[in-house]
Amino acid sequence: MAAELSDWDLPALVKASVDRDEEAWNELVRRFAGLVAFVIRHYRLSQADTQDVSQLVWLRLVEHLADIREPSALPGWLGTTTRHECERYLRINGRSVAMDPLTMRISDKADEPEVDELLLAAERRQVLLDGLRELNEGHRELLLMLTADPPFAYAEISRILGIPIGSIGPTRSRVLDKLRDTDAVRAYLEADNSAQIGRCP
Amino acid sequence: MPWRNWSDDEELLLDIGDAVRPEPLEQEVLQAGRAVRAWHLTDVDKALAALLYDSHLDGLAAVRGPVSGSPRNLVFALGELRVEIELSDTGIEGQLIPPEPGQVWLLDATGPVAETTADEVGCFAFPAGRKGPIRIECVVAGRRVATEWISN
Repeated sequence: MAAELSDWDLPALVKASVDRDEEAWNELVRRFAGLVAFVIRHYRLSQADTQDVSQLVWLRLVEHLADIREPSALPGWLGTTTRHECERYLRINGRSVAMDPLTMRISDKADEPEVDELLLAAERRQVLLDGLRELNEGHRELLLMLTADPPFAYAEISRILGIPIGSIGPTRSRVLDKLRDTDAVRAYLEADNSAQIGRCP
Repeated sequence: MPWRNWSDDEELLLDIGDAVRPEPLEQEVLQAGRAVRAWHLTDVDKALAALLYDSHLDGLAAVRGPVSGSPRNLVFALGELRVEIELSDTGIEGQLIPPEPGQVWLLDATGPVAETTADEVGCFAFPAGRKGPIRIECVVAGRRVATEWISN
């Protein structure tokens, strides 16, 4: 069941969660934990604070789920809610968040990325994870081995995946092309966000 | 933030590596999500009282920063109903307005953790010692009402 759930699209997951399906809820949490963590990391909360804030975000999501008309808006909602809860949490606990009064943006460090950029970076990460999920297992394995830290040697990859060393390079570019051609990545690249992502095609 | 170029194999691989590497913070967030039990999903029919006032956000404290240990006053509203609570080191004291006796529950992310009765002037109290998000639930005029979640 769990293996199938990871293939569900977002509208199906949201609907199943509203219909009180605990497995669907867990899958929803699994899919978006990265995004929530991404935003929280920006505020440098302690471990205990992270737990409180993220719990609050999930609790609000439970109440928000039934009102979601457009599931594709969920990542944006989660990102904004997480940011909001982080700032509220810091204020309630007497720790200030430096804000630029003109833009109402966090400005504790000049080189800090803007929140919009954080959300976009989190979205890009999610797009890649969704894209990887669309690949077949062999192709996904290859990419995971190539990007492992430290990376696997070609000889090892060849032995584990049973492909000749000489074909790893060509397979690598072919699989990356497949990744670019997944629904998730294509939809993202085709969406009209070229202004934000600059040099992406 | 310069985005990596996904049409470049090397840059795309770098982004994939960053995307799939699990980090401890994400684990933390994941566990928090799992701790929000299905229990909540089965009980969505209650009416929600929205936060109207939070002394640590709206009052003088919001300007000066809350004094450590000072009580925090919160007001939740749903139509004519007000749920007022004060959080302090000694516990939670609250009142239902208009005053009405009834059952009152204290909940955390895992479900109800304490139950008490509001007296004839609507006052109720819970002992201290709970960390993390909480909410108050009560039955008023036959209707189950829950306050918004608050961080504690």
